[in-house]
Amino acid sequence: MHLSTRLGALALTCLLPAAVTALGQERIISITANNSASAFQIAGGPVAGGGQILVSDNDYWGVIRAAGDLAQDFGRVTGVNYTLSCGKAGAPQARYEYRGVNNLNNTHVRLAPLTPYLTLGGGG
Amino acid sequence: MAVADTCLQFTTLSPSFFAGPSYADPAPAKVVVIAGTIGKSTVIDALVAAGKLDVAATKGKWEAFTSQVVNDPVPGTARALVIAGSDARGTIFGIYDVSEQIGVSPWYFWTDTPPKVSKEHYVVAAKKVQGSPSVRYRGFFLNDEQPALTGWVS
Repeated sequence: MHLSTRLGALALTCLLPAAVTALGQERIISITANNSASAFQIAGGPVAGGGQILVSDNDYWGVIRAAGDLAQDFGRVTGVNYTLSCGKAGAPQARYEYRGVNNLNNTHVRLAPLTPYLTLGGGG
Repeated sequence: MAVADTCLQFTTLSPSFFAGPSYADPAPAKVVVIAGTIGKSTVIDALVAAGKLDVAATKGKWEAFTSQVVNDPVPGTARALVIAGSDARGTIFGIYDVSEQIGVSPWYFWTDTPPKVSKEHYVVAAKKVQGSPSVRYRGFFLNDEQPALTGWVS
């Protein structure tokens, strides 16, 4: 992921004038307990050795992927990666089925009803 | 068949697979975040059915989510931040909302934005409800022309 510095700087200037603030969204997470007895610590303290994120393995694959990203993101800020669990011991690695478009013969196409597999390429 | 009902169709290859994240064995005492989609995720549906999670403001919406601190959400877990999305993207937005708030920018990948390091993080509000985006379809364009990304792609 080595983008040109110029592109990075440009995107930052245009899109993120205020660094990592949550663009107008409500914040519920803080790096201090804010003197609140009900604050719930999700990093450091009792989970200093790394926490766990729980999902169901029947959820959408994008959700499971994002939860896996969050486990790593905790590592990026705390130094300890979190683990991801689906609540089952010995669960195999998440695996997703997809069907690629057959582009072996691009000279012949046919008209057919809309299908969820339709892909129209863009730009370039 | 009317023209509007037809379009170019490509035949598809036989099913292929790609790998997602690895699952660790359950460690309920260490669980701090539970995430899932209403009507799709077993663990989220069980929390709703048990009355521990109120998703009335989120269920059935477009790309919405509720994040709530729940006591005793699953056996062995004393407390967790539960993220319940109305659909796949709602849940994903709820998950990445936590990423962003702990210090990992949405631009971590595309602009190499460094994470903000902090070993301690607290959820300081009991609940957050985020509604549907005010613009239904959004996107951003990555300039794939020369000289922007061409060299990077190759």
